[in-house]
Amino acid sequence: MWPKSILILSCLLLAACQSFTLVEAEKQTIGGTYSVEAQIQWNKMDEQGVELWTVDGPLLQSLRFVSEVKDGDALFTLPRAPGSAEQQAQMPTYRDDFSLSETVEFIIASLERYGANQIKASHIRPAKFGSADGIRFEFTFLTEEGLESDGIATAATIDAELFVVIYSGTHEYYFPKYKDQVERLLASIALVDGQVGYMFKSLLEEERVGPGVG
Amino acid sequence: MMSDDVERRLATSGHVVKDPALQQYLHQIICRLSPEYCADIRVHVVRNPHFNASMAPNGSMQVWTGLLLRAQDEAQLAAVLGHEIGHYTERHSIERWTQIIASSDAAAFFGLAAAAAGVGPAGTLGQLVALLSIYAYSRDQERQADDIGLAMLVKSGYDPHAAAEVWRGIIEEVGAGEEDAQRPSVFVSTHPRPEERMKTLEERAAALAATSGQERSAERFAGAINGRRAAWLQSLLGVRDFESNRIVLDRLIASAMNLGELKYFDGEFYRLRGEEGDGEKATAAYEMGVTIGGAAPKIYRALGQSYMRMGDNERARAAFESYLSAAPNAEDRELIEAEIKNL
Repeated sequence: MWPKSILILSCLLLAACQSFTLVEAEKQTIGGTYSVEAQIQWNKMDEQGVELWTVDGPLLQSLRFVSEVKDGDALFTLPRAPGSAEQQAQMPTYRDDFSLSETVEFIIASLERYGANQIKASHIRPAKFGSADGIRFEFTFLTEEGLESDGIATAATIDAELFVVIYSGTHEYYFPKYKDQVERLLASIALVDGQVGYMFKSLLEEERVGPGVG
Repeated sequence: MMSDDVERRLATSGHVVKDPALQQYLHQIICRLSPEYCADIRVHVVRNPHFNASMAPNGSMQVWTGLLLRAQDEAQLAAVLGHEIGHYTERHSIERWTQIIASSDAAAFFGLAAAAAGVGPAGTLGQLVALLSIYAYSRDQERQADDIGLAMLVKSGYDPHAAAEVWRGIIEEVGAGEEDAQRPSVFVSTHPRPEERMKTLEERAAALAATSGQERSAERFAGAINGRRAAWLQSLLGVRDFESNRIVLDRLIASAMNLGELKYFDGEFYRLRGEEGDGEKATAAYEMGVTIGGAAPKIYRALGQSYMRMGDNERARAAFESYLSAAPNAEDRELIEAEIKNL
């Protein structure tokens, strides 16, 4: 068995060795489900299955695209570390019969368990996610180190799977630095042909049209 | 000194609760228990739903909101604080540190200490917790801290039975849930077996009963946590450890302190667990909470969602409208209006 000190050191080194690829300032497809118009160049990395974009570094500002969250899935996967399996088991899980409010609550609870401390959501509202009916809210939180931070979250259910985009960064400088570009990016969300989104389940049977709906 | 670095990081971390009134209340209890060390001890309230309190050798005390949530009166809270002061006055952590440096644990200890001090990319509360577990005291040190804590309770006029009651609660809870790096086991794992401690403390309290005070200060404690407990309960339910959470909720409900609020969280528990029949239990709990009164307006929103799920659109609409009426500036007003429109 490895000494505990070596295991801890390995975790720290693994966390430090993330590889980035360049995202050009042009149309980008996210998970084959929707596209966005990137206004500026970003750096992209995989964060436990979540597509994370940043300019100045993930600890300063990040744009997370969480895709295809299915019934029973958690929004985030915790990095492997001692005790992480138990904590992952206690992460909130998505249910595909969530109401609008429950979807918002699921995102907030997931963010809290993922390290956003003392999170406060504001202006929670229905919002378009491309052509899909979705939700949006703003939020404030404290990082692990107590840094005041801001965020925007928007989400929609597309073919029974939840898609979420979260922009967050430090309240001072890094969140506002690219907020306008992110707002334009969010406004540019366009579902790939054939994808149908909904948040109002009762309307689904009456109004939802598209491939696969009999 | 390392504990000064840890305290500096803790004081500015996102986990610490900036609540001077609550800190003052806790500090008053500390001063009552130990007037001679009162000026040396600084209290930091940490927002964490698990049961824990700890004391560093530099006089920095952590009190987790999970402890405040589980204590039923001031005497129980004082029992835990007195125990931690006992470790401090007897310099147990310094003794433990000396032992670690002389042992093969040194590499692990300094690895964690470096992480907790911010070296590396992941200095978090988890590492501070891991640091606490390395600080595990010996059985003799724990017994000594128990003795000192009990003596402080008696000298201050609190009911000494409170100490054993704390351990009874921990035993129930630990027996119910799964282990986790930040669960009550953090506190328990650093101590002798809870059953043994509870028995010893019960026996000593019984022996002292004739001459000790009986003060519980349940009302003063209720006043101190009034308006704060809902956030701690929310935080508790954020951890999907349903067996353990059920025990905590049942104990609080039995205490009947702001039962309306507790019924809201009772309903939330069932809604989040989502087992067969839980939907009906959630609805019943919300309904009872509304009847009793005292819960935040969001109980109406929860009730509306329950009715909506049952297909009872008429009652869902009424509940949502009650919510918007009780909380006209609610941050989710537009969303609830959309829910109503969609009914």
